[in-house]
Amino acid sequence: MFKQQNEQEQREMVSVTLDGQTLKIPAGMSVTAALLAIGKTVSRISPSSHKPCSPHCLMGVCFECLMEIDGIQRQGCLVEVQEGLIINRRLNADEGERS
Amino acid sequence: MASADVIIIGGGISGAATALGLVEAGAGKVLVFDEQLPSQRLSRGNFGLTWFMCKGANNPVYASWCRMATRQWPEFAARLEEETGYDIELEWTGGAIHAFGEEQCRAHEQSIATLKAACAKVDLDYPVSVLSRDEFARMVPDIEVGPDVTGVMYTADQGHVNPLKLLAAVRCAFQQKGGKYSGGHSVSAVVPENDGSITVKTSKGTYHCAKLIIAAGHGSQRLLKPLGYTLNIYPQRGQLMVTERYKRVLKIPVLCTRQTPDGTFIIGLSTEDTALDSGVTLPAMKNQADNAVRLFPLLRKLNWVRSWGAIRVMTPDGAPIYSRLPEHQNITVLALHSAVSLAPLKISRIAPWILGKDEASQISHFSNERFNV
Repeated sequence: MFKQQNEQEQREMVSVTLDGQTLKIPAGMSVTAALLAIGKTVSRISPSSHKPCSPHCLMGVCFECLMEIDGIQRQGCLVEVQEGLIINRRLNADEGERS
Repeated sequence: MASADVIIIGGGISGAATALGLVEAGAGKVLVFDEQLPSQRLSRGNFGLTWFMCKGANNPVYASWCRMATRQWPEFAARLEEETGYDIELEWTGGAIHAFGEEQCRAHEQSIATLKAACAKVDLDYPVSVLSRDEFARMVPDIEVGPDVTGVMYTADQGHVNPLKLLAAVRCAFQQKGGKYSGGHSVSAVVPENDGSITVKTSKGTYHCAKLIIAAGHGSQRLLKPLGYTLNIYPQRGQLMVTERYKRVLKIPVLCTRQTPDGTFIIGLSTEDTALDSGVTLPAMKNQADNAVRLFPLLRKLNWVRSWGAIRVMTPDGAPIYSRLPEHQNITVLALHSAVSLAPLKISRIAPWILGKDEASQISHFSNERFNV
């Protein structure tokens, strides 16, 4: 669904833990953008509708990419990717108090 | 020149609800002109309580007016929802005002005693009591009540609503019943004619009407001044802030904090004299955030996602102004805060009064002239 603007560009990939699984995501961009880049389009489950949410704005306004990053609930689009981040989206309805 | 039976200047909650009441009462052709000024968003910026508690301590007529309004709310909401299909999210889950410390609890007791006595004089009950911290905690079992909370003032007979959906539903019902709503429509002058009719000059042409209602908030003064009339109102800012959505844990609205059915916490309890500046300030938001976190410690870990200011239409005694202009009896002005709480009365009491069909006994107490002594 999402493609890098310049497919020739080789981005550095770093390891993070996403929902308990270790995987590589591109560095040099926000967590939200990096997750989109690897095809993870669901950012959270709405606490009200209990439906999946995806990022809208990628610039800190819509709050649809709120997720737990290193233990703090925050907007993934405002956090730059770093090696070793622990990211929890809590996508299962019974997981965590926010869902 | 276009003509109408009634023109309403101002399509906020009060103007739109009065307009709805007028079409329902058979007022004929009713037009609403709404300027939609960015600086005048009080019908969108408010907190959304349908509330009577603590109102009218030194004014039993206002106390009875507020109580009458809240009593009409559940039926008003049900009818609006049935007619328009809007879910205005009314929850009739009571309301509370917290107390930090014994002194505030005693102040609550005193307030209740004063209002019970005031209401008794007009044969009205005042079903409010002070609950202990534990009693309140049991009523909101899904959220921790902060250790500083010593008790709450509580009533079961009020609630909260989504004010944005209320505004939309009222305008929708008005238009369904034949009223004409015109947005982005500015009025430049109101000219009473010798034959008793009124000419209304607007950005979209000149109109003619038999009756005029001015419910334009702080914009009303500009229209009234050429008629030699001054409303006794002043601007008072309130600041609000909202958190990210969270699972539903608080069903009872507290005066300074409520959680909407969508999961958002709305926090706000500020009053400032800032003229028409609808901005927000760090000190006021910090103050109300501190207060809310002290009440519900959970709020400390939620993201705060939006904040805004809105300008109340305040009067010297806090009660509304419903007035006919002494020299132009077919021009009525409405100027008030608490438009959400009082919305049902715009249909059941204010519209019939404007049409000269029926006058509730309280209305004469709310004239603008009460301040001119």
